[in-house]
Amino acid sequence: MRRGVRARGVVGAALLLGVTLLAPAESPAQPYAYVSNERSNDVTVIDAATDRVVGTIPVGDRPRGIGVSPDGRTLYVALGEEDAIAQVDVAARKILAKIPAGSDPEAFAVSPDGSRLYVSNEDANTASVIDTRTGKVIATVPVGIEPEGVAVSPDGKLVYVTAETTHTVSVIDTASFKVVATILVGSRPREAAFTPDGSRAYVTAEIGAVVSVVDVKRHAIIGTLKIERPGAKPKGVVVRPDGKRAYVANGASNDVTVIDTAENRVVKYIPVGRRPWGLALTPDGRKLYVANGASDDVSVIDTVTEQVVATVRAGKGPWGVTISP
Amino acid sequence: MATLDRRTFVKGLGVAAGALLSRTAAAQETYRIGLVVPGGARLEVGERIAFGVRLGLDEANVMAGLFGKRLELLQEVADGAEAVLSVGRRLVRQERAIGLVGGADEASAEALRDAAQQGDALFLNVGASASRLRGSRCHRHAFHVEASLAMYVGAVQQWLLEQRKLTRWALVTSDSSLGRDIGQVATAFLARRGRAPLATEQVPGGTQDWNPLLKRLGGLGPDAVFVGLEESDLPIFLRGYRSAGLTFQLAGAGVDPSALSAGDPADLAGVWPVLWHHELQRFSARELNSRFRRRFGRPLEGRSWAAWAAVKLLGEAIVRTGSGDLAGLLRFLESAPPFDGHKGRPLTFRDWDHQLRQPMYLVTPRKPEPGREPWKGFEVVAEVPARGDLDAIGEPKGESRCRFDG
Repeated sequence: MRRGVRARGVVGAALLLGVTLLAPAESPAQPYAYVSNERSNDVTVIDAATDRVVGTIPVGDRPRGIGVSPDGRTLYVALGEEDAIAQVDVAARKILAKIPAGSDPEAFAVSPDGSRLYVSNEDANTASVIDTRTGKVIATVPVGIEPEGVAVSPDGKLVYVTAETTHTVSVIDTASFKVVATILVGSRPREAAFTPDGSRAYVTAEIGAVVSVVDVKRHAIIGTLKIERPGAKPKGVVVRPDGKRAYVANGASNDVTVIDTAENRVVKYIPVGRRPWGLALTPDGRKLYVANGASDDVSVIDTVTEQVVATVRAGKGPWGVTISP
Repeated sequence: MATLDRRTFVKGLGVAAGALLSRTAAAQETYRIGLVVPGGARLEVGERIAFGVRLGLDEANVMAGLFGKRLELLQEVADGAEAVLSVGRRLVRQERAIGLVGGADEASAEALRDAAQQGDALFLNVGASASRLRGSRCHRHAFHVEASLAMYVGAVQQWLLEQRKLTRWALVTSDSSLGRDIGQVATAFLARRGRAPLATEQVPGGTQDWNPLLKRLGGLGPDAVFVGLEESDLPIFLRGYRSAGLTFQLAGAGVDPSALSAGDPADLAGVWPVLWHHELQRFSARELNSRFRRRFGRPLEGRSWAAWAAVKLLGEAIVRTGSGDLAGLLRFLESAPPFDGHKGRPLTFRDWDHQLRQPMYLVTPRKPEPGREPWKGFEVVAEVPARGDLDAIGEPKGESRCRFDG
């Protein structure tokens, strides 16, 4: 009851303010990294050219999952304690609206055309499809227990939703909103990332301390990589735009795994801050930003030298990162 | 057999099965699991185990259903070793259960282990912590989700030594099987660290006058008093301890702390180990606690957690091996697959005695408050081991008397 009232209140507030869900705004001139800080309830804005903090946007209670629209104009931030996803005008750095998103939203993905958000609903064991234009849920799809990470294939036709308690990835067809396959992966899967050509996906598993490599066409596991680091809890994962490297945030082992995707083998571990969680690459793939949840900073890795080239102070409890195109 | 209790237990199962059908329409292969719980005077213990099993079954069946499989629960109530053995045998031999879950106490755990052994099935112990079951009376078909007494005791001891830096202890144990077991594992833990108890006191069951012992403790002036007493003796001891004005750190093991609330709340004291606590938040513990409370309207505690974990483990073993074949299930469970028990670390069975490695939690009583439910009377003060090797608590391999080939 409390949640329902709160959710309606969010919509009501948006209407009273007279804001539209998609306000026109200038696209940023250069890539910015946006970092959600779950304990300071804000987003740190980092200029990816200089690696300096250029702003902080208060967004609401417990921001975690974060994503940006394909045109770079709209930032979305999941607010776990508000049961909503904040929609932020990037140019104005102001909240446009808060979209009701079910109980305790944590992770979501933006479709390649920007028209939809795919949200995992941890308590309900479902994934919701939200129309970004109207802010309405247009489909709800049952998945495994405790759904978590969400990833959309580059062509927008498939959505992967990991489920922590059933150790599965539900593969959702975005035309029919049906689960077309369920893939058994490592124990407690967290996130998934597709290669740019969409042929493979990498899925992290926190308790299993493994990364599963999925053949997307066959919905089949073709490799499992063990993260051989003490205490490693693989969480965030991204694939470089050239498709040659995948990077995994290892959580408690305080480093990032570098995977050679041609051979599907671990080639390096890069030490970063404490409890790296979320990851994002610049559009050219030259820099990797790593949110370090326990050291309240962001490590910036040069993907050519595979070294940390900057450490940027963030808010409290950095959780996720996204970078504008 | 208590048919009334059995009916009460089974009532909820129909709901569980119905809820699952919509998610398991494609289920083809069915695997049976036998659950044997006590009734009568131990009805509450039986309920705790049964509720945990039902939640575990729900979750295991969602996973199994995604892969064309289904787990079916056969639940029985039986009291006494002979009755438990008889029921266990029937479940395995006639009902074709591939695994038995239960073991509310040492005797029933032994009986179910024997039934599983004789019928080529698995036994998952969810309630008996006795050392013997993991030692001289171990068997390859038995897996212990419930922590061993050595783990319960070791968790408190490690905290006293490493966190509180308390080294001079007096051990007070009952002259009973439980008390002697606690005394032995506590002394062995200290010996591994080159220490010995300052004093060891063994007291007969039913002791009413604790003054002589408490006076001796006062004279000794230990850093800590570690108790391993029968549940029926503890309230009287705690009252005496308070009345005597002793302020040495009190700690203990071998009882469910919530049972202590039956006495005067003002007497509650000490640090006690538990397998699980309903206020745990991290690593999706909050979600698990919430699911249990929504389903049964009560808090998730140690025995229910163990029962939940046991069925989930069985379900995962069936899905990941693709069958209910005993040899395959044994190989899988012995391969140390990382189990997610919502404790933030991979939990695995030790290969030398089939004990599940896992962190424990230490709880201490809250300030008394009129009208508060007993289960709200304790709060978590530590997780042990907080990090590093989970074998740091419990009996090490070199000291184990378990021989699977014997």
